[in-house]
Amino acid sequence: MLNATDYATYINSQNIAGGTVPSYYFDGNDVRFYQTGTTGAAYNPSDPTTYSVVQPTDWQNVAYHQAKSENVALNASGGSDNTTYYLSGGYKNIQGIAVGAGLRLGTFRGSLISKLTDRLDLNLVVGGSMGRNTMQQGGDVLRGTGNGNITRDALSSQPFILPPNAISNDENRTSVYSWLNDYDDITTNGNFNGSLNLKYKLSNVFNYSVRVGGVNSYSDRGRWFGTSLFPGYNNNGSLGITNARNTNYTIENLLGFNKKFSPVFKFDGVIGATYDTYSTLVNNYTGINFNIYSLRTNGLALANSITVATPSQLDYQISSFLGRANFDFFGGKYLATVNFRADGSSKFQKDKWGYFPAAALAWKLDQENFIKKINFIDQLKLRVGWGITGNQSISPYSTINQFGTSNISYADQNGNKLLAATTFGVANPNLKWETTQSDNLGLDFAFLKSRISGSIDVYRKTTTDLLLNKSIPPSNGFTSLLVNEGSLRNQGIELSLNGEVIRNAVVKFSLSGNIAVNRAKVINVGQPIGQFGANALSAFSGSAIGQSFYQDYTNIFAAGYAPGMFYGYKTAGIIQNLSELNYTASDGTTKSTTYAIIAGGGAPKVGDVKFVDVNGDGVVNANDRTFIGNPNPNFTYGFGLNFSYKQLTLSTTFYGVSGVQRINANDYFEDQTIGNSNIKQSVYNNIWTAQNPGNTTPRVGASSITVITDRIVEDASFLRMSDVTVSYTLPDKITNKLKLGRTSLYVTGKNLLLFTKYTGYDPEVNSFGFDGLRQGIDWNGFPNSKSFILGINVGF
Amino acid sequence: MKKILLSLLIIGTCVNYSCKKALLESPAYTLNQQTLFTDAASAQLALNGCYGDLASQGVYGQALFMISEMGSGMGWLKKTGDELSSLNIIASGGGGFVPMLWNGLYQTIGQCNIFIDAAQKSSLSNKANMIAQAKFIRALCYYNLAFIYGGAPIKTAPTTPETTNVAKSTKQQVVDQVVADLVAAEADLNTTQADASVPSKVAANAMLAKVYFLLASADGTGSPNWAIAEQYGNKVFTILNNNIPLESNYASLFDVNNRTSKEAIFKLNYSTLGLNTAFNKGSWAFSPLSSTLKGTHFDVRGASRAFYSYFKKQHTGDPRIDATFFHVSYPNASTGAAITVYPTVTTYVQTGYPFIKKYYDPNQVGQISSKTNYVYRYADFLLLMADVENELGKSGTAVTYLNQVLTRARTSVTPAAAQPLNLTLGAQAPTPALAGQIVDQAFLRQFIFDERLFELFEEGHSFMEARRRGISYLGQITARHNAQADAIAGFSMPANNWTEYLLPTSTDGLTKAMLMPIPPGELNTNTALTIKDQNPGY
Repeated sequence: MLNATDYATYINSQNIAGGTVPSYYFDGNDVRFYQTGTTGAAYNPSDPTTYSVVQPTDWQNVAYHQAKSENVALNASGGSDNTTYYLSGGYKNIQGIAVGAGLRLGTFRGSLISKLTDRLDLNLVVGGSMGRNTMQQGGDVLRGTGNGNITRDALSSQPFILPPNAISNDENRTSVYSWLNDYDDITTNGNFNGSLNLKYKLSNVFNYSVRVGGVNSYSDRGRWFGTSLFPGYNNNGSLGITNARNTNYTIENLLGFNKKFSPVFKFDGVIGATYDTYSTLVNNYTGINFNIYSLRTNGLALANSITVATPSQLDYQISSFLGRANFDFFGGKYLATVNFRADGSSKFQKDKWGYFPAAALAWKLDQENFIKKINFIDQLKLRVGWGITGNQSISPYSTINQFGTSNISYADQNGNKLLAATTFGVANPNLKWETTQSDNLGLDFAFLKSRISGSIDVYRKTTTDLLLNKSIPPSNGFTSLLVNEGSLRNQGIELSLNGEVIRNAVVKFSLSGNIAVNRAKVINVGQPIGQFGANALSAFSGSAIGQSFYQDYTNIFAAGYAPGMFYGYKTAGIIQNLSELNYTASDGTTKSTTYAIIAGGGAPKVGDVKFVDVNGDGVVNANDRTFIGNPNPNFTYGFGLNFSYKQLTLSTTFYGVSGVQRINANDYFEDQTIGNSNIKQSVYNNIWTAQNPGNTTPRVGASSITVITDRIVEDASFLRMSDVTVSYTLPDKITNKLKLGRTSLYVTGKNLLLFTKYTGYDPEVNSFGFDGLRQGIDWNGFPNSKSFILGINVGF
Repeated sequence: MKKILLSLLIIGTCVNYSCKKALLESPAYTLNQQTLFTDAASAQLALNGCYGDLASQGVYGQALFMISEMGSGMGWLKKTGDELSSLNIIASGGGGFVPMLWNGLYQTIGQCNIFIDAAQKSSLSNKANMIAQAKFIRALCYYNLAFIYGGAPIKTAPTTPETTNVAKSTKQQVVDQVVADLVAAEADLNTTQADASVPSKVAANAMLAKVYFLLASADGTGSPNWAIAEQYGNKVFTILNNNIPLESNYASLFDVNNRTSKEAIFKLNYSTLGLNTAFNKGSWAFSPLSSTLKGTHFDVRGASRAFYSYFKKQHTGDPRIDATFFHVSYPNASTGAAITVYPTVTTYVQTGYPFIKKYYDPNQVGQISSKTNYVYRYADFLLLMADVENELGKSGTAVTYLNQVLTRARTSVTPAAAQPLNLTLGAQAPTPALAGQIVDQAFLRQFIFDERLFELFEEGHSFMEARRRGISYLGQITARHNAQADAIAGFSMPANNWTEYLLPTSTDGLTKAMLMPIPPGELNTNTALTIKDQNPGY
């Protein structure tokens, strides 16, 4: 981002292009701000009342800091012959890198395993936690609303504190300080869980077990926006309170069977029935219009207007019948497994039940005599599997039309509020399970006294009846509908290898690595072929990502293509000469291409971004949209090493993704030469001028580009050192003297190295991860922190 | 121990045995069609939903007046990539208001469809009148679609998963739907209503007159639609015994405390406690900086210099000018100090425009205002009937209607203002700006066209009014805009956010400006539409 001097020069160049006087003047190292656009006195270098000297500020330094965290845990275990116990407790205090963010969490867990009689075993587990989480990420992080967030303000704000004589407008009135001083987002939560498992041995062959378990949790969140932030400014203080209660109970009945029929054939299996019930109730309250702001998240009672929303209830149940059988021939040389389950979900109305069979075969080649003869082979196992699984992860009540009173209200002629009932969306009573068929073939191997080991897997997964929250035409009154539509195939190869390079009593050195290649393809989308920009496709589009700009969809799901391909306009640098726009029209004359997608596109100018007229009709419009990128990687990989010398251990892991692209939507602010937003230094240096006609950044004063183009598609391949740890274990001599158990000291560094060409904070950000129809997009992504951990493990 | 085991076994088995029942959904915190439509009071909640969506910021609470006033050719919007006031917007542009209005209109239509369907199936005793109200609301939505976007998909039944893609109907078909709903509503609405926030037979007939008036205006002289407009309009005169109620003071129409004006044919109510988008955003959108004590304001929207100047030139001293604009200067609400604006300020700065006043609410808090919005008022009706009668050769009647509106404007202040003076058929026009012209049919055609722009400016009609007589009349507005003497310097400074746009004057440019584009969100997702369905020029 630009410093104060460069930023001031940049804004002045915008003023000059716009025919107004400069906003900034320079005197030595001082940058002086003059408020243009008023009827006040003109800038006068010898009259300090006409200007103010700005105070340069690096907002990223204000917003983020080096955070300290602590984490302590205590475990104890013991018992007698028939009964053992395990207890643990922990406390974490983690500071976030954004100033003010942090988490405090206390946990406990206990378990008891007891043999009550010869035939009856008991296993009891209880656990719980309590915590308080303070977040600093901001308002609506995602859509392009005026609410903004700290990440955006830290990057886009002018690099100094706004002088007092500046007229506040919608672009500059929020600063990083507003977030630090006038924003609270505090969640307190707690969780209690327990389960009891009783296993009764009916005979040598049959056993019966029953397990009951439950989880009960709460999460209470308060978000306060003071008046220096948009939601607070617009509503004279804005407070949102969310109280969530979750409960979940499980009952399982399983009948087990286990018998060795002959020396060469063993059989075991289980049949059972399970029932799970999940309940969630979220109460929402909004308070606005405050006279007193000081109680912040605790001040709901001080709001002049309080709204109680229709509670969000998300209850569902799953009932299952299952059976599994394992066959073992010739002492494990040939293994076969057959699985079957029937799952019923309350979320579906007509087709509640899904039936999911699976089977697998394994052949331990290393137990065959012809392999045993080969000395260097220690292990060789061939696996083949087939199965069908189901997915029902949609919101409950998606098949039922409901009315609520919290979307909208009306009023009577005296201005009194009237309740109004409206529907929430279009219900789809036809929903059913989404299913995935998987086929895989694998080989596990170990050679040379197991110093080299690894596995290789080939798989294919075909998902049909995809449960999608599809965009539907707004002419329906709603913009999304949950459907079962289309099918998708993933196929690939995964390879992992481990090698122990040195293995002796003093030094151990091992290396490991893995690589995975996956190819995803949309098989069909259940749509007829239609025109999508320049291409005729059977496809459906993703969701629009922005509101006032980037209103177009970014991803497309087209049969025959990878899912979520980026779709938009192609560009070709900057217009250097208007003759580049010439094309031969159908009447044989030479005409100049126009752009229907930007303001002033009827007559593009030298220094504007050059768009590609894909269909060659002389106008760049929605018909020229095409594929501009792919958010799916070519391959992912990882590697690590582990080195130990006596008591000292060094280990590290790396992982990376190659051949992946990402939409860096932040470029709307950082890569365009419009408005008051601060921009990247590299963008500033390459601004097109007649004297310095670059080919990457348009001239100052060029129209903003509000459509999705390949200019914001970036290579997001990366290699990250995710973890490096050095640890030292105290020698027994010392620990014995101190009467301690195994004790070690360690230092860990996380995310210390990142190799990437991506220009956003983090190539792994996926801002809309929750929405399958908006993928691979970085919208105000939060930076990924580097951290160092200093630890000690002590055994007693 | 065996007993415990046994009891657990029983629990487990029972739960599994009753799984069929256990997998049934029964949401406990929401309402459903059965519970809502059992009695009139609860069904009224669902009808309030239709009104609420119509009044919300998706339609009359914001998007409609943004499109209508800023996109008319007579509004000014700060340049921030939001080119609504340039009349040369791009399909994905318009600052988000093009899709916002489209979506808001269809959201309201969707709720009306659900209401009408459920009410028809119910056994509610007063369902006919309630359905008529919903049909009136639906008609208003299709009316705005037809005259702002042109052809559009028509939906008259609740959406099901099978019916999400509906092809575009022609503008005529959309108008036919408006007429069908209004005629059906007229049959079951009450003849009159004490408060105009509930539609009456008067409102339905007056709307029908307006629909045919707009169709006739586009056809021009000799259109059979003039007579149909007259026919519906005369029903209004009959019901009201030829006594059309006007407020005595024009400015009092826009007094925030005047919630039940007798001049309203149909209006929408707002509450300061409105949920989500259920408040009037007009005061926030248009009132200038520091004009209220507790409201938030930005000087980013106003009237164009050209329109303001034209209004002042035609009717110098017209009391409506003070009621319509913050001009010359206005007081800072907290200090009382005068803040100067156009025409006192003529440079290209925040305050270089006359600001819009009809939405001004001194009680605005944050963005929130509860000021009443007029959807349709009697002065509008009188002026349209004047045009109708003039086209039907009854210019005398036209002048009578017209003079009622002019008289009210002139006598809004005491003593009465000098302008606008009444017209006399066959005599010279009394307005100095029109000196020498004789009041005849052709004169009245132009005079009424302008008079409607003046009288109704800022009230959500300007887009249609500027376009109702086609591109030649729209071209008058844009030509006047481009010739505004003190704005010419501003047109050449494209990167100064506070200047004005040069407006289109070519046939292609004006043809494009006649309609708003179908939003990309609809074209991208509706498989029954192709890019060929997009309006000309986009």
